[in-house]
Amino acid sequence: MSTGRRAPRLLAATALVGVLLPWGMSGAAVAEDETAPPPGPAFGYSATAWAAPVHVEVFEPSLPIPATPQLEFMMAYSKVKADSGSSSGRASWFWPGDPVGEGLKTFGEQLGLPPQLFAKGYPVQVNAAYPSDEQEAKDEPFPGMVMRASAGENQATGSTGFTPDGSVEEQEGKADNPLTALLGGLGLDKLAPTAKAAPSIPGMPAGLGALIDFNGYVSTSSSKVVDGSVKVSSRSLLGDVSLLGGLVRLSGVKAVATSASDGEKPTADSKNTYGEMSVLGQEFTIGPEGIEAVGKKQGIPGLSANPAKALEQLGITITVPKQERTVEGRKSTVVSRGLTVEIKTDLLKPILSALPLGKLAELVPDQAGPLKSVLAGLGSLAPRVVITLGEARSTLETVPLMPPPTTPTDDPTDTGATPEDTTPADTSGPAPDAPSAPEAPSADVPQSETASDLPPSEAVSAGLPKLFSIPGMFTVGAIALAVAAGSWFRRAGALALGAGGACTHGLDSGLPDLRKV
Amino acid sequence: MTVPMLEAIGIHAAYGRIEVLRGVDLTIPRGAVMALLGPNGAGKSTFVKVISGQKEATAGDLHLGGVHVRNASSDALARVGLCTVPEGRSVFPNLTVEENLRLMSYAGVPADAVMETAFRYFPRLLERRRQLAGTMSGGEQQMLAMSRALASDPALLLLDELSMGLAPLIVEELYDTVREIAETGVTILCIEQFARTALRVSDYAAVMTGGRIVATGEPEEIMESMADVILGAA
Repeated sequence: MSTGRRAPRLLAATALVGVLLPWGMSGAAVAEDETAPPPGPAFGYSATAWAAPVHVEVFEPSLPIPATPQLEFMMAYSKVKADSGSSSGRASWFWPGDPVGEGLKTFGEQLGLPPQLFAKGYPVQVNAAYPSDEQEAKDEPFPGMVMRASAGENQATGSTGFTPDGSVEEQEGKADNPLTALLGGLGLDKLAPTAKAAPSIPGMPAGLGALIDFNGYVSTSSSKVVDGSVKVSSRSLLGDVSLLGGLVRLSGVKAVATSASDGEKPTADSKNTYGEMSVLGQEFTIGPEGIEAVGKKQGIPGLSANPAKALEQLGITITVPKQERTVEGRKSTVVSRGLTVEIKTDLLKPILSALPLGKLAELVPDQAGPLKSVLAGLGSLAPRVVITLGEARSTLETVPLMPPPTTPTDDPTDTGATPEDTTPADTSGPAPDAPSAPEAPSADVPQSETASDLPPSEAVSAGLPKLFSIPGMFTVGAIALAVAAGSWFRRAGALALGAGGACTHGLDSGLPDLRKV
Repeated sequence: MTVPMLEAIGIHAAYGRIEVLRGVDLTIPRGAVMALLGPNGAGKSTFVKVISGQKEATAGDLHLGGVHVRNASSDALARVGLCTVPEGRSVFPNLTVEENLRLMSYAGVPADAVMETAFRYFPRLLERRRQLAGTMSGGEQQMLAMSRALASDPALLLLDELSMGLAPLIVEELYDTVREIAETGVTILCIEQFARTALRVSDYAAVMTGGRIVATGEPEEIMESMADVILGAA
């Protein structure tokens, strides 16, 4: 029998089964309805959030790295990814960007480095993944420096940073401005009474201290499912910052990005908090409108009184980026950045030329030719450096599940069930600030009716007529007729358009069955 | 002369304004194992996407079994026997091995037959049948992904970066199974960055760089000239 003849029969049989199935399955549907709802949200979701208090990007197209920016690193990078079935958390106090962090092996091979250096991947990170890997991971490479990650069925977190007591997670009920906590509450102010005396971060490459230095930073990213809603957020905090050896000082930047959804309405929220800034001792405040001078205006010798121009003379452009909060359909995206500092490269030249690049290049073995040439050429590069202080991003997208069928129950006492009654027994109610849980499916009977003396009523819906009733038989007959007519019209249309039916080897798609040719 | 299983002539494909494939010519004889090698970013995975209908070619001709199929839909190609094991495996992490395999029965293959094939090629999956796929090792997940592909009774199997993230011993084991599969008459295209193992089981090999095939031949010839070809063209 050819597939051409078989297809209409198959279609008709499928249609018939499709029509009869709802009648046959009604009993099963009632049984399924009595089972408890799953603990997770009643929708599918995919969420990502990451944060980094310091994000340095170097744009130099002449570097042989197939990525833009060509070099980047982040201090205190935390990231979570979660979806309906899995989750992961990552924390790294020094993250060299995804191209290097994820693909160190490829970079190592391309640069000709010894395999021992990169065989185990990028080392400065902890990762947790559910269900495929360890669900808790942590490391404390230096006193006060922590990296923690966790992942579970309904939550994932990544947190990292440098504080005196290793407290990097967000703490409920703390001061509204966590910078206060970071600088004062945690004791950093006692350890480092002045920004000048603040030590560099342990482990930070020494050369970077001339470019940027800071004395405390944390970042936390988390994803949680609570009361049927999903919330994904990231937060970065930065204490005192010193740029270009102290020419520019900042007293704190915080950025928070939060996306949440109850499956229907996503929300996007962000918040930035800034401390004070000084350029060669002249203080400025930073706000959404930009940078303004504060206190007694005292001109900086040789510099313009206008802060933007003064910074420009120093080769620095500081901008306050606009917060991006986007809600499109079921997707929420938040990009929260505290400050963007762009540094002109001519200020970097003395730093680069002071490094013994030639000697370093000589130490590199000949097998690592590309690395050797990169090192030797560093002094002549003119990169554009962009430093983002306080960066947090979150994205959340949900997809609806097919709604479960609403079927009447046999027990008349069940008809008065309220949405609260149908939620899982162990829920203790939503937190005061948490979005309310979506209503669980219940019988379509208004509560006021069930309280009266009326007899138990059946759910009212369009429904299907009984199979062996006259309307039911008419419905089945009409569908069978439509299937036959549809199949005939399809074939007639294909012939009219010159398709000529299936090819020699038989599939209706017109493609040969590769198993038979 | 028999019709080749796959014949690509001057295939071009682009992501937006960036052209990734710049005239790929490749022929795979029926029942052969072809290794397609090349560095990162050469366009190998994009070529697989074009063959399997996941990405439209902007120019060129693609023939499967002698029939022009350029830009045929991926589901139509899957029905006629083309199957892809994608890079990164893509198993369902929180379903068990058995549940992952059972999903293939929705495509019309009886669940028992799917299991039987999977456990015949990969006995280790039988031991892990009730384990969540996400908790298995990378090699075992790759075995599961290959088992799902085999369940569709493929005539042309595209294996994208089979060795990615796996220990060398596991990769050897997987490629031994690839050879076994090929001996049943299945045509196989292996996309690989790490050439040695793939070449060991291949009948033919091709090297792709910069969106073009720059060398084709017997595995031994390719092995000898590959470093020059890749480094010279990069």
